[in-house]
Amino acid sequence: MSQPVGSKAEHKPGRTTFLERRVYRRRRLIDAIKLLPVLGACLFLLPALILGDGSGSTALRLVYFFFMWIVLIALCAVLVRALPDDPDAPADASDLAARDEPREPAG
Amino acid sequence: MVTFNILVTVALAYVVALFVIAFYADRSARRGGNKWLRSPLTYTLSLSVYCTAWTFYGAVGNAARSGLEYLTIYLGPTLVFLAFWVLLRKLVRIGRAERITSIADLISSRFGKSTGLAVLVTLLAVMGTTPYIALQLQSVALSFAAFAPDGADVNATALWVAAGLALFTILFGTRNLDANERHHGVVTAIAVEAVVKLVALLAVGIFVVWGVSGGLADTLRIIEASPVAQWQPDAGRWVGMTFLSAAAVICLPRMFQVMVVENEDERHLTVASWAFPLYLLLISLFVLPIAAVGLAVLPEGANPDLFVLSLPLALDREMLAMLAFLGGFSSATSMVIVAAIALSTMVSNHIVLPLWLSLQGPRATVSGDVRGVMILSRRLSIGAVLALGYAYFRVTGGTAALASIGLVSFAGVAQIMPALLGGIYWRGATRRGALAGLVVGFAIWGYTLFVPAIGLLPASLMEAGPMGLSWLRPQALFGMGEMDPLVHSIFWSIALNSVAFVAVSLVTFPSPIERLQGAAFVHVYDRGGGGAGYVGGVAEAEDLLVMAQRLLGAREAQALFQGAASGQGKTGYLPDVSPEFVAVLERELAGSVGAATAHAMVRQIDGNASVSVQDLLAVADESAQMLEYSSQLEAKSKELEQTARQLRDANEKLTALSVQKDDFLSQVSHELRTPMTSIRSFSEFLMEGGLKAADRVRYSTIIQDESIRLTRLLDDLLDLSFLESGQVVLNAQVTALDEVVGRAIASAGVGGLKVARAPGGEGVMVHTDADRLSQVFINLISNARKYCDAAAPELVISVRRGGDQVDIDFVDNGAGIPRDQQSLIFEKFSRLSDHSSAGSAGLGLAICREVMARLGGTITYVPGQGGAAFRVSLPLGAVGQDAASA
Repeated sequence: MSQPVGSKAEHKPGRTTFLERRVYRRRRLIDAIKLLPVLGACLFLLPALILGDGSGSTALRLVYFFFMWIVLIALCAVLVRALPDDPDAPADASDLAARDEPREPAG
Repeated sequence: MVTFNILVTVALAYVVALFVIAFYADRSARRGGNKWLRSPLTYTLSLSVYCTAWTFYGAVGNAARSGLEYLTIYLGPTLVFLAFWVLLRKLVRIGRAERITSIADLISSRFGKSTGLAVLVTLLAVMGTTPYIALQLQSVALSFAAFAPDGADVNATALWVAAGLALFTILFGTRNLDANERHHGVVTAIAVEAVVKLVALLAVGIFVVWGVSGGLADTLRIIEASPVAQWQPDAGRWVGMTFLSAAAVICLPRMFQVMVVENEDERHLTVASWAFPLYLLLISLFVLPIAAVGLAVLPEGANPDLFVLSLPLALDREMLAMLAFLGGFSSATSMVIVAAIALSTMVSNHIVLPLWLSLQGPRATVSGDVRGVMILSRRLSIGAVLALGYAYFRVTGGTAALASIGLVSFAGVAQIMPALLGGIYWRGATRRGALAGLVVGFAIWGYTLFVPAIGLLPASLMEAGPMGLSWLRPQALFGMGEMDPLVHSIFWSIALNSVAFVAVSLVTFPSPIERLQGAAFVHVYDRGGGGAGYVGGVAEAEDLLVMAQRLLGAREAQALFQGAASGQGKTGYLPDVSPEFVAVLERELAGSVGAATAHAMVRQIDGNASVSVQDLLAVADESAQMLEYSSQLEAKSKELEQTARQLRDANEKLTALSVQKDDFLSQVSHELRTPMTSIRSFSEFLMEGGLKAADRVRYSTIIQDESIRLTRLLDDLLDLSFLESGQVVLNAQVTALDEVVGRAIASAGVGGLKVARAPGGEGVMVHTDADRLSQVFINLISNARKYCDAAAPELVISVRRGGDQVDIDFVDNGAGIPRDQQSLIFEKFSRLSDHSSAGSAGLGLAICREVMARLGGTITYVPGQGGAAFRVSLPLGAVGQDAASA
C-alpha cells in the first residue's frame, strides 16, 4: 500500500481472482486467525451456558478451562508465527528503524 | 520476624530500583534506544497493567467466595487478544495514524474532533478510575498492615504511597510532550513490575501446591473438598462478566494507554496476541488452589483477599511473604502510574487546555508558552488524580463498597465500547449518536450500579423504586428483578446505550469533518498512496493569508507564506495551497488558537468548494505518509516537483512577456507616431504660411507639447536602460525618510486622491539617494491617483522599522491588482488593461524596481491588503557599495 504516488489505480489488493499460492495461503491463515476468537468464545462460554445448572466438579472444570486456554494460546502462537510478512503491509517497524537509525549519531 | 521497618526498607529499595530503571530506560530511549525497549516482550509485559492489586489479591478472595468465576476476568481479555487481527490491530493502526493520545481523544477525534465528547469520556474515565485507584491504595496499605498488625497506620501508608506514586508519575510521565506521547521509562518500569508480580504469584502458587498440599492431584482433591467447589456456574453472570472484562480491556484508560498509545510497532501485537493470554493464564493458574488451601489451612474468618500474603506468613515463609508483598505492591503501583498518566493526559488535553485557551483569548497564545502550560497542567492533573483517589479511599476505605468497586469500574468504562466499536467499523456513526449512547449508558450505569454500590441510595428507593414506581427500581428495571444486579446493570446500560447510539446515528446527519474522520478511521488500512493531484484554487491562498494575518500578525503571516512559497520554488507571498502547506499553516495557527479552532478556521476558507474530501484526507494523512515514504524518495520527488513548478512558472512568464513585448512594440510605435503625426501636420501648416498670429502660437504650442511628450518617453526608456546597465551615479546622503515622503506627495500632486500617513516611523534616517527614492514614491502615488477606482480614493502610506530595514507601504482602497497580473506589473512594457494614461508607457514600476535594486532595497506587491498595496523596503545601512561606486 505504500506505493508511490500515481500507482494507486494499478494496485488494488483483494480484486484479483487468482492469487499466487503464497498469497492464497496467507489469506487463509488470516481467516483462521480471525476465527480464533469465535472458537475461544465457544470453548469458554458454551460449557457455562449448556451445563449451567448441573452439579459438575469444580476441579474438572478448572482442568477443562486451563486445558482449552493453553490450546487456544498454542494455536494462536502457531498461526501468527506461520504468517509470512505481508509484502503489501506498511512496514512501519522497518521504516521506523530506518528513520531512527540515522538519528543516532546526531543525538 | 519481618518487622514493619524492614518491610518499609524493602519497599523503598524496590521503589528506588524502579526509579533507576525508568531513568536509564528513558535515557537510552533518547539516545536511540536499545532493542529490549522496543521488543514485543516489553510490550506484552506492559499490558499486564491490566492485572492490578485487585486481581493480585482480589482474585483469590473472589475465588474463595465464588469459585471459578474469577476466571471470567481473564477469559474476556483472552478473547479480545485472540481477536487482535480484527480489533486491536485496527485500533493500534488508527492510534498511530491519527496520533491519538488517549481513549477520549480517539472518541472525540473520530466524531469530528468534538470537545463535548472528549470531556464526557474524560469524566467517565475519571469516575471509573478514581475508586480503582483508591482500591490500589487500600490494598497496599492493608498488605503493610498484614505484616505489622498493630504497627502501621493504614491511612498514613496510603498517603505516602500516593505521594510517592505522584512523584514517580510526574517525573517519568511528563518528561516530554512528544507528539507520539510515549513514555519509555514508565513502560520499562511497568514491564519489570509485571515480571515481579508474576514471579511472586507463581512462587506462592508453587509453594501452596507442592509445598503445602503435596502435588497436583492432592491439590485438586483439596479443591473438591473445599467450600469453593460448591459454586455452580450461573450462565448469565458467567457470560456477563466475560463480556464485561473483554469490554474493559479495550476501554480502560490505562489499557488503552499501554496498548495503543505506547505501542512502538504494530507487529508487537502479533506476539502479544498469544503471549498476553499466556501471561493471564499463568497469573490465574494458582488462584483457586491458593484460595482452597487458604480456606483449609487458615483460621476461620481470615480475609481471603489477603490469602496470597497471609498464607506464607502463617506458614512462616517470610521471604516468600515478602516476595508476595512486592508482587502486590507492583500490581498496585503499576496500575496507579499508568492510570494517572492516561487520566492526566485526558484531563489536561480536553479540559484544562481548552479552558485556558478560551480564557486567554486568541491573541495571548502566539508565543510558545502553550507548551509550558501543557506540562504544568499535566503535572497538576496527576497530582489531582492521586489526591482524588486518596480522598475516595479515606471516605469509603475498608467498606464493602470499595471491595466490589472493581467490577463497577469495569461496567462504567465499558459504556465507551459501543461508541468505540461503532466508530471504527461503522461510517454512519455520528457525534450525536455517540453522545446519546454515552449519556444513556452512563446514566443507567450510575443509577443501577454505581450509586447503589457506594450506598448513596436510600433503602426505600431500592425496594420500591422512585416515587413508588416499582418498574424503575435500580436493580430491577422493567421488573427484571431476578437478575444478578451486576448483570442486570450491564445488560440494560449496554443495551440501551447501543440502541441510543445506533438510533440517533441513523436519524442524524454528520458534519463534513465527522464524515471525513469516519472515513479515515473505518478505512484506516486503505491509506497511503494518496495525497497527490491537488489542484488548489489560487484565490484561496490570498484568503488564507488575510486570515493568517489576523491571527498571527501581518508580518509573521507574511513571513510564513513567503517561506512556504520559496520552499515551493516560487517568488512572492502566495504559495500553492498544497496539502502540506495547509497542514503547516494549521499547525502554526494551532499554536495560537488551539488545534480545534485552527482546524475549523482553515477549513472555513479551504472547504468552500475546491477542497475535496480526498484532499483533506490527504492533510490528515500527512503524518502517516511520512512513515510510509522513504525519505530519499520523498526528497527526490519533491525536488522534481519543485523544478517542474519553476519551469512551468518560467515558461508562463516568458510567454506572457513575449506577448507583452509585441504589444508594447506596437504601442510604442503608436505612442511615437501620434505625436510625430501631429508635429508633422502642424509644421506643414506653419510652413504654408498665411496664418493668423493666434493660430501660429496655437500650432507651435501643440508642436512643442508633442515634442515634450516624445522626449519624456525617450527619457524614460533611456533612464531604464541606464538603470539596468548600472551606469547610474547615485548621490547618497543621509536624509529623513519623512521628508522624502512629504516631498514626493507634494510633487506627485494628489488631485482627487486622499493621502493619509499612518503614524509610526517618524524620524527614521536613511542613507540613500533621496531624489531617486522620491522618484519611486512619486511613481507609486501617481499610480494610485491614476488607477485607484474607489468612489473616494484614498492612499495610506505607512512607515515601519523592522530589524535593519525599513518598510514603506503604499496601500490604496481600490480593486487592487488581479492575481494573474501581479507577477507582471514590475516588468518593462507592462501596462494594466486599458486605462487611458497618456504619457505612461508602462515603464513606471519597472523603473521603480530598477531604482530600488540600485538602492539596495526592493519593491514588492503585497496581496490581500484590501487594495493595491506596494511595499518599498530599504536597508537602514549604507547604499550598496557597488551601486555607489558605479
